[in-house]
Amino acid sequence: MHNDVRDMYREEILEHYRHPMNFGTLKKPSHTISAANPLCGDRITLQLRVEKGIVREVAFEASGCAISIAAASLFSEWMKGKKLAQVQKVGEKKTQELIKAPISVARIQCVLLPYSALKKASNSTSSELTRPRKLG
Amino acid sequence: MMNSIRNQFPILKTRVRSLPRRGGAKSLVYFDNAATTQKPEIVLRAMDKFYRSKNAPVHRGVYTLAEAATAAYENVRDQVRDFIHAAHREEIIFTAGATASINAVVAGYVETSLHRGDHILLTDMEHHAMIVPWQAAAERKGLEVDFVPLTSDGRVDIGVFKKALAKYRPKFVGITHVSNVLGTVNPVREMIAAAHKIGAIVLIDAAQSAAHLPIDVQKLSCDFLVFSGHKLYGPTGVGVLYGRKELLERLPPFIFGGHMIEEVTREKTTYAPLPAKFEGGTQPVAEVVGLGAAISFVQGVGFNAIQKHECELSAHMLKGLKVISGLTLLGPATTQGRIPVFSFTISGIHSHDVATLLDREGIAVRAGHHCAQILHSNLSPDASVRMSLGVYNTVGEIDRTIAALHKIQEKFYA
Ligand SMILES: Cc1ncc(COP(=O)(O)O)c(C=O)c1O
Repeated sequence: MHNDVRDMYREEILEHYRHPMNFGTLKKPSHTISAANPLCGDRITLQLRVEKGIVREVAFEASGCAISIAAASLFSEWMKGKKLAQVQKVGEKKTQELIKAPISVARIQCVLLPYSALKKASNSTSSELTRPRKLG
Repeated sequence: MMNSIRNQFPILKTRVRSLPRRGGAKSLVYFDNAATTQKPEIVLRAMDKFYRSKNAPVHRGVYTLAEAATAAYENVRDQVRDFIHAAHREEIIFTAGATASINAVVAGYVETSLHRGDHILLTDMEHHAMIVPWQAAAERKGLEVDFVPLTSDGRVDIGVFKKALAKYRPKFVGITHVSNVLGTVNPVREMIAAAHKIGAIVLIDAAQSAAHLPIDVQKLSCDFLVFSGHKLYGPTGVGVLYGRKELLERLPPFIFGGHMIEEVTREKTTYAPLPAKFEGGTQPVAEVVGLGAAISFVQGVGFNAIQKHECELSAHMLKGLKVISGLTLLGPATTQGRIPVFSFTISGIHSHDVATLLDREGIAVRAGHHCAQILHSNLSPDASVRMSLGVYNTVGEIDRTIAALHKIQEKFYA
């Protein structure tokens, strides 16, 4: 099949799907947030440890398609060490940029899934009481 | 025969080119027929011709054109009567589709014949179009909705069904003729007989069967039966509600307005007799005409030929799917008692990825829960890929799809 650099199924993306970065849970998260894609039921649980407004640690667990897992992998890696407020502000655009490929309209929700979770953290400075679930 | 059938469907000549642009354009493989079928020339032409030469309101004008439109519309009622072997033409009501038909029956029954605490029996195999109207009605009226569980391979067992009848003593039973996820054909005749023994009224959802199996409402002895035109090679926006005459006569109208009345005064309205009572407002005449043409198309091919061809497709598909490692087919892997609808999961590959990658090969399939979440969660925690075939699909298209699935696996498992 295709292996164009700008293909959303290029090898780099599939590699993130097979071996996602930051997959798992944190020992002492300050934020635990979940989001689901109503179209397909895919879910993600995102955990952050935020110190003085800076994202120090991040982890996620998810069941989903290659695109949503790869997006979460890339996005979580990117946000480490950045200000939470900043990450939330540019997150929607950034998640799409990180995939580096045109995304069909039908699949855009998959890419945005980790951001939908992160967005919810903006409204709660304290942690939400969702317990992370082992998914997939 | 195959080529002459395919040639009647202009859309099947489409060449698809999807991103990323590699290789030449590919011919479209349309495997989403359970969602909606493509339309043959005869349907497109009938609708076009109606608008060009017969368009007028039906049942109202006294002029020649309106008479021609009315005749075209009413002829289709006779065609449908013949198609499903109803006893009377006024037992055929045109609606907007299967969903609209089910909603009409539910609303009417709830209003006139059901009371708090009454039970409604459905199966775990139902489409949301059957489940949701009953659940909404149950909430309003305090009814109980019960579900017949399926066997582990996703079939309705007649013994289990009879037990549920005895246990719940339902007033009303709703059954899908064929599963839109598994393609399995339910033993509706036996189920109807059993339900009638305890005095229940039975509604058959024939949305998935109408294009694949002959239907005889009198032999089935069902009380109500519904289907949509667009899954039968006809247009969207039109469907059928069949009801036994004496039941339809007792059922209240569900759309109030023009044409469905006998007399309107300031004090009171009396309703028109069947079938007008249920056809309030200006009807989708061109769509009804298109439905008539679709029925002519299906009858022209003939159910014997359709079933023979589709059985071959099923056998070929099942053989192909069997050799794909990690593939789990939902429901039974037999050619008997099924239509060519196949839902599956592949371990390690999400169904949306499979669907997107098949799309790149020009193959249109569906991914998700297929509007049957209860059935789906019984059989698989994950969304599945559904391939649903119709009369114009070929063994060659199946081979192309199986090859594409192998390629997707190579890519993912690399
Ligand atoms: C079994 C079944 N019942 C009902 C429906 C509803 O049909 P429609 O959407 O045409 O009203 C469908 C298809 O969507 C179906 O597969």
